[in-house]
Amino acid sequence: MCQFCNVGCGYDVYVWPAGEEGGLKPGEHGVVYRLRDQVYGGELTPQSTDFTKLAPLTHAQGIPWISEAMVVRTIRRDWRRGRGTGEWREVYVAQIPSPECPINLGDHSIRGGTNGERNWSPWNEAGARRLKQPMVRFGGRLEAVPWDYAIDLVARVVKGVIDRWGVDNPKWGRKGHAVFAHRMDHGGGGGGAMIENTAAGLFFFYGVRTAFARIHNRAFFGPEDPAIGDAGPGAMNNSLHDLRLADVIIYWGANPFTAGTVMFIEHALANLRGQTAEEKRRWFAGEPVVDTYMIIVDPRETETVEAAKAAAPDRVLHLAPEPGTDIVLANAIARVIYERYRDTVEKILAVYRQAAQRGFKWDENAWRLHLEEALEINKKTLDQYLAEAERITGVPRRDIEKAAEIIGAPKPGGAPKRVWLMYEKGVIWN
Amino acid sequence: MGYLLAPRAPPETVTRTVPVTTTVTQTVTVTPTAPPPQPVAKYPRAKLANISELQPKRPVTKQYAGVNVWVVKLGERAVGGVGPDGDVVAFANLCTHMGGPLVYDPQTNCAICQIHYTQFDLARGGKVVTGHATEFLPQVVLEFDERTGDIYAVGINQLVYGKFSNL
Repeated sequence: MCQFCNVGCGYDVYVWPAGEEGGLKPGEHGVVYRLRDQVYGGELTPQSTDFTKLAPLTHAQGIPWISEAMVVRTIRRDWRRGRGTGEWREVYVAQIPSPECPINLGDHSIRGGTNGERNWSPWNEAGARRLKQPMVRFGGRLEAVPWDYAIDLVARVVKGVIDRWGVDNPKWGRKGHAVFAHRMDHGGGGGGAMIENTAAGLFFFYGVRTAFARIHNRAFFGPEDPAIGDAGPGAMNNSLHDLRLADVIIYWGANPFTAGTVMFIEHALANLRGQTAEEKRRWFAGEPVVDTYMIIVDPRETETVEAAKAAAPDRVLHLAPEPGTDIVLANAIARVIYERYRDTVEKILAVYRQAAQRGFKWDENAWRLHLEEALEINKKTLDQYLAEAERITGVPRRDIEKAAEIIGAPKPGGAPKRVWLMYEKGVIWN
Repeated sequence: MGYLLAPRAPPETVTRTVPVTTTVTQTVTVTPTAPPPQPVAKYPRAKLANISELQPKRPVTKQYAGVNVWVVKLGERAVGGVGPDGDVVAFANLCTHMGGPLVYDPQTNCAICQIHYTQFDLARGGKVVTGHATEFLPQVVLEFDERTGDIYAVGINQLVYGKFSNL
């Protein structure tokens, strides 16, 4: 799996001794794909790939082009008596985006395509400069130090801070919290190389005794609990497959072209361009396939907006609210949907209420409060509400209404649209 | 829980350890491998175009060494550019990401792929401006004959999409 972003693309790793590359024709090399996919309906028939003549996009047929960034010349022990044993041998390591992986289907981003060349090698600059000892700056110059020294140094500094400004210091008492800890808890590799917070938690809360510890994307040290929990489903309740099958794709505070690339270029664009129509027909027999719309909410004209508009100029709506006013915008769209597309709302409510009878959470009181306090259905007319929203967010009223129509208007035949919503860092802390 | 990290009182004597920088050479024994491969072919020297047929900011598609290339007069001095203004360049016109078709944007002198919208700067050696390609756009090495105005291609500076050897 790729080491970089949250999307989690799959990579096939091949290692071979230098001089034994083989050839481009099937059977002359070791790259083999064999896939019969029930979900997307894909089938990679080439049992052994033919690399002699590559056309564009043949990764989708199991013949990816292996660029120079995917291969590195390095050394490895020959593993004569098991892993990590034996003599050093010169080998090549290739990390090729896997055509068999349903996440990327052989595609890659500008980060993932370099997985291969980022492997350690004594012949690339990063490998030669790899840190093997901790380093401390003495007189302005970094010097290598033993591990014991480094650990002892960090411990002394932390202890010194605790003694001077910690909770136990009588001069500071409960007001004394001078240690601020920002812990990176997960990162690349498809959503988390390490979400292990136990040891870190013990250290910060029992050892250092600070209240100011947070995880990478929130102001505290705990799980997220978005309001959608009041309606039953948790936050992460869908898959990339749902993105391919959606009728409306909403990116709210997200810039996937840059930050979650393959999800966007492989799946969202395919849907937007109508290339997933056959899949939709197969999964939702009887429902008409409509043109996919995309709504992107971001104060900036990001690359995602530009790419989406280049792919489908008249089916992409970009809303650019004033930073910090996303809640007002969301409520305005919700109010229009509630007033004008009540059937859709009732259908969705029926699903949630039914699910509540089977053990899912549905907070009827929260729904009532949402209508009365957030959407202010009894306090302001729709015109007043929209006028205020336009004033606060800067989004023109007709765009708010257009967004509501895209989401709320049913498809021919009466079925509500399948709406896929992704919200990310741009809005999480609103 | 008490503080388990370090003793409460500082030790009586403080010994300051000054680390000495040592260079560690790790000897790696690698079995001899096959000698580096000798080139089996050389790039041909081929006339691509004459400067008189190039209008500013209008790419012309030509063939060189089995590769479709664009020759374009950019209007700004470019990396690897030839001609009286140093602005005639030639590039392979397949995106190095997934081989998609490129479209030339005269305003930015960039080539933009139409599948996933990777953008290459033709005035800066085909560098990736935004997008997903990990390799620059392969540039054709050009020579300019001032007497005749002919533009010759003498090589390509990296692997073209889809190829494991350009020749």
